[in-house]
Amino acid sequence: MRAVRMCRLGIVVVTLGVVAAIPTRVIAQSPVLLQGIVDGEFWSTNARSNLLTRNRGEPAGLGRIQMWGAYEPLPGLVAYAQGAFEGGSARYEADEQEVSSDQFGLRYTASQHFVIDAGRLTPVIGTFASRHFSTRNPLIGEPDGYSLDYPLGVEVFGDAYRFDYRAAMVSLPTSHAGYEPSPTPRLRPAIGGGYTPIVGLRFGTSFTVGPYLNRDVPVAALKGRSWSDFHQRVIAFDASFSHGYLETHAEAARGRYDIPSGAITGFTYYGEAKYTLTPRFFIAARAERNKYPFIRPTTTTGTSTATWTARLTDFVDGEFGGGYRLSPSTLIKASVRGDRWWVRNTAPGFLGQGGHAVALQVSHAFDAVDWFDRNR
Amino acid sequence: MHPLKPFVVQLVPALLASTILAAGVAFARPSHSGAVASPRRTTGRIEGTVEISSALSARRPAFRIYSDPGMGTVPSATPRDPAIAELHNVVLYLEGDPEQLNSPPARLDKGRHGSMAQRDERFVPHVLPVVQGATVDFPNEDDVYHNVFSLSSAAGPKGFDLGRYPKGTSRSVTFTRAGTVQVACHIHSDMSAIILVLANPYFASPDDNHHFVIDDVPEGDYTIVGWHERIKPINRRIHVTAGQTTPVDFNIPLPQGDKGAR
Repeated sequence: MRAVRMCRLGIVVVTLGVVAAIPTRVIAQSPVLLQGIVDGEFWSTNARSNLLTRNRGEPAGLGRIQMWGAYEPLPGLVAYAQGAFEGGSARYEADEQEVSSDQFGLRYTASQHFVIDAGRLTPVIGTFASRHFSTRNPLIGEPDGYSLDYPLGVEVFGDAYRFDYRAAMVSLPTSHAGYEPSPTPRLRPAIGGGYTPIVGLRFGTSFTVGPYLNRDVPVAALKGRSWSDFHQRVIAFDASFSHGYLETHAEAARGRYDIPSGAITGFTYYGEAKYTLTPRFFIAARAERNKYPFIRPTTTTGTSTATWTARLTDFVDGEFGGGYRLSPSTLIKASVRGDRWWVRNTAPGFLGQGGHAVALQVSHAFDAVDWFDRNR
Repeated sequence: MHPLKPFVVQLVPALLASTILAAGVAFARPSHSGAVASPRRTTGRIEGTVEISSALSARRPAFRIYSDPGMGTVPSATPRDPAIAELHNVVLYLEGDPEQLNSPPARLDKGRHGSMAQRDERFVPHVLPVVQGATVDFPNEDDVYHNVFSLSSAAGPKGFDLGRYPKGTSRSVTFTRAGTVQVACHIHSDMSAIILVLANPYFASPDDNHHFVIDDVPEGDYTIVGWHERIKPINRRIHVTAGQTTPVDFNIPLPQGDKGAR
């Protein structure tokens, strides 16, 4: 794990070094895009929620920089990459810093009807991906049922008339860290499509099927089957409507997971709304229900006894907040979020039946090529 | 116009316009157009060419790292000839004594209306020069929503946010303050435009042949400004003589040491 982190850090350092070494005039004249978002966050939570608690309930801060670049050597052909550095005591993960490379690849746009993309891709399932950026997310938190795994794969997408489609072969299932075992990459199909009956209203769906376990699952737990025989099937639906100053969005997903005794099925959904009150000020709210499988095949150390934990989490959470635009590229948001769990769990690490979080976030989007341009 | 934005914003320019009109009738100045019967004003013309650095016309990849699924996911291709496209983003305008640059009403009216369409997920034109007090329409010509907004102080104390409206419909904003209005789209962060709200209607942009003309300029001394969004404005002192053409060529960015008028 440490080696992977060092490797990612190395990639980021080398990339920044190369960018810094290129004469600014060259960058300004090249078909290059280099943009980013810097976030600063302050969190105050209690210590009673698996979802919301940060820094064991003590006030915490977080800084994040996300950068992406694209280079178009030939018309329509774009090489791109996106990376991020995040650090601070408010991180969910145990490590206080992380360097990640979410997306990279090669994209060829033949027309709006047909685009082919190969590399590390945004998830095909669900539609929350674009709001992974703080400047696109109307609130600060993200739905827990939303996957942030970026698989390797090849995808084609586009739109025609009122329809849009995406179809891919990807390396990972739609898994949620902590809910299922960390998956071993294995190629699987993922498809999605949508229909836009009128501008501003869209209905979409997506589907994937494939192995979700990893090859390190103890043989005893597999009951004579291969790890790759245990499949996950996820079907998701989404709808969005916007008009004037109102934007609404909702997603629902149903996941069915093979386990030795049959299958366990869960579902998750959320709905959110944003309303712009003045050119600078908006308010937003999101409510989520998550009843999704928690699956953990384990063996007792030194024995061949295997046990499967496969049960549904069950909780609701809601977030309400507002945003104020200091400038077109600088946004400040504040939100309050609370959750309520209906899970009987006495396992170590399970924090409690519900909690709350108050968060403040400042985001600034920038265009590095513009900087080079202006500083020539 | 935002619903919470008081309609006073529309009312004030209307009142201003009627006041100016009344004042104009009461204190009618001699006009070149002859709209008011009076001695002919002596005017000349400013003419020249604009060369633009290749650095300013660099092509940016049409690429979005994240985009919402649905129509409009794939950004439109960049212009075929970015150099010509960028040339149209140059504005040449005059600065000088407002009394001297007071223009005939017909010319003023022409500069007080503009249109900036949302077409192929771009603002067209990218740069729109208008005269102070102008009303600009923002028609949506795309099959997808846009959300045009500006927080520039020249767009009023609160800026404006036009919300989302479908193809074939339009919203309008009146600009009562001179200055630079940066326009953007909440939905498509790669969409941007600039409205230059100028104090007088003596401005022009170069055509495809790099050529520009500012006609019917009252005789006198002025500063002609070469403006492009990514450079510091280039100022040149010129003298316009009645019945004559004053040549001015611009090289943008201005080469070092070339700061004088021709």
